[in-house]
Amino acid sequence: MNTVKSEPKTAEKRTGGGEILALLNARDEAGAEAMARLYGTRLKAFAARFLSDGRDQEEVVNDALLKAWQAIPPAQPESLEAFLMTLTRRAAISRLRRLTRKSEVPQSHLEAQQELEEVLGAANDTESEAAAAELSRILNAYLAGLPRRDRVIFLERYYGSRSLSEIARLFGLSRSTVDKTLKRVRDGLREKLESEGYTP
Amino acid sequence: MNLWDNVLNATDEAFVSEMLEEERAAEERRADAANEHRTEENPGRRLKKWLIPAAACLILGVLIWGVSGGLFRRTPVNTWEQWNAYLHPTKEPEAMLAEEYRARIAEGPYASWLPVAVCAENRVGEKIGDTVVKAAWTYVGLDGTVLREPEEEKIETLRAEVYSLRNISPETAVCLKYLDRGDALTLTHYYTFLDPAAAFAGPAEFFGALDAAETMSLFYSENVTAAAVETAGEKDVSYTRYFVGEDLAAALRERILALTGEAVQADEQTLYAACGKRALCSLKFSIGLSGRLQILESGYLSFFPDNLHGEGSQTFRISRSVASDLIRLIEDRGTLDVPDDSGTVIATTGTDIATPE
Repeated sequence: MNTVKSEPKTAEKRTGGGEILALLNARDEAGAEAMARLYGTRLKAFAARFLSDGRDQEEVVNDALLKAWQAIPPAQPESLEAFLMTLTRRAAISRLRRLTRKSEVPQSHLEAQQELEEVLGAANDTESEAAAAELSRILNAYLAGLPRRDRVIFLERYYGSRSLSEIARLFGLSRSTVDKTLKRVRDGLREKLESEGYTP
Repeated sequence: MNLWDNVLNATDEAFVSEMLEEERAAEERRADAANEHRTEENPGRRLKKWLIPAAACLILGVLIWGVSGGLFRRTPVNTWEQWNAYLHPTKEPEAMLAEEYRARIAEGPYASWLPVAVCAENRVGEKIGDTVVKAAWTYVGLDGTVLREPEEEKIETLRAEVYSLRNISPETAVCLKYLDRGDALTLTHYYTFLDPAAAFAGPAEFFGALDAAETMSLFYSENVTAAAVETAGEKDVSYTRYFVGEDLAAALRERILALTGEAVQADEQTLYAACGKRALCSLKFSIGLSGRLQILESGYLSFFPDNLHGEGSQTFRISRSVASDLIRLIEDRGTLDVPDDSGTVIATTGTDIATPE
């Protein structure tokens, strides 16, 4: 991974995200079309990490694109791509809840879930939204204190549900390095949660 | 679905953006490296690219014809050599290059030393000086050799304090605590650096120099204490894994630490000549060094560090009887690894073998 940080806005400029944002702000439908054209494939690939069925993937991407069209303006995301990823993930997770068979969920997502459950037990979504919001606050604070490389590997695994081998190939690391990094970061997260009064 | 899905859905978008940036940068770097590789090719290399496979096919054809037709008398092959190449391939087709974070001490007495891993804090001694480290993400081959030096502007210059290690001479190893944060380093850990060229008169001196009585433990793969015993046949190597209980681990450890012998510079031919069996396990030192230990029935003991970029291996001649005794100890007192699903012992041969982790 690079040590030189790139500003998100630079990436947006390179991918045309800035121009699309301008169109969306002007409520120009060409912006919605350009957004689908530019990010659709990548979002579908992202959705495929959570959902095996191609139709499900397309539907969640369409959901995300529609929500983005409805949200901007007033929303002004720093990075349109990251905003779309977040919306796609939420839609995919929501769709996942309606799946009845575990076999329909990609293995790497199940494994990633299991690893995180070991950090703080297998809490389910019957727990309050407030609990999730509090955990998100702690997680984001913890992630902010990590070296960039560790943070990206953690997110690739648990936010992006990539397999260890995929992450290793992507960043040119050994699988064992990825595995050890994740273990170290999970251990740190467990300690952080314990210090905030959570117990596994 | 669990709570974590909801938690992660609220991940700070700046982090998501950063992840996407890194993905894009990684893809670009891989494309650049591939382009660079292509442009480096000259006509001579392109010719070689075709000539080598053609020559290999020709040689293979002649060999098949020769062996099947009895042109050659079958000569004994070094099955260990083939086996080692199989277990420890120097390259794999999926990823020919990797990017590793490499740190080197810039100047002073430790300038040629290499980092191994994080040192247990209870092994850290007194502060003995200050130094500067140059660190960068570096393209390396899977054998650890640097394929491309990092660009100057991407090299981090980090100040660090040098500490001795308890009961270990600063001529063998020291550890560093960074005062400036590197991209893959923390300010809180102590990182051990070793002299990869260090030579030891015998196994006792080697283990003594690392204070192995206090720092060394045996394992096989993560969380498993086991040892493999491999037996060379004429054409193949059979493999058996033994779980090592606490008593046996203690006995093995005690005997390894008490070994006497002398350092040798031996090639594979010498090591494996008249070697019917070898035992393998891994050693982990709490100062951060780890590696593979092999005991050869031919009377040698070797240690190959797995985190010194292929450097720093040690080979000692111990007696044949001592080596055989150690292997027999594992066979007699170890518990055979029996897979749950088959009820048979792992002891396959040839390329279908279950390779150790």
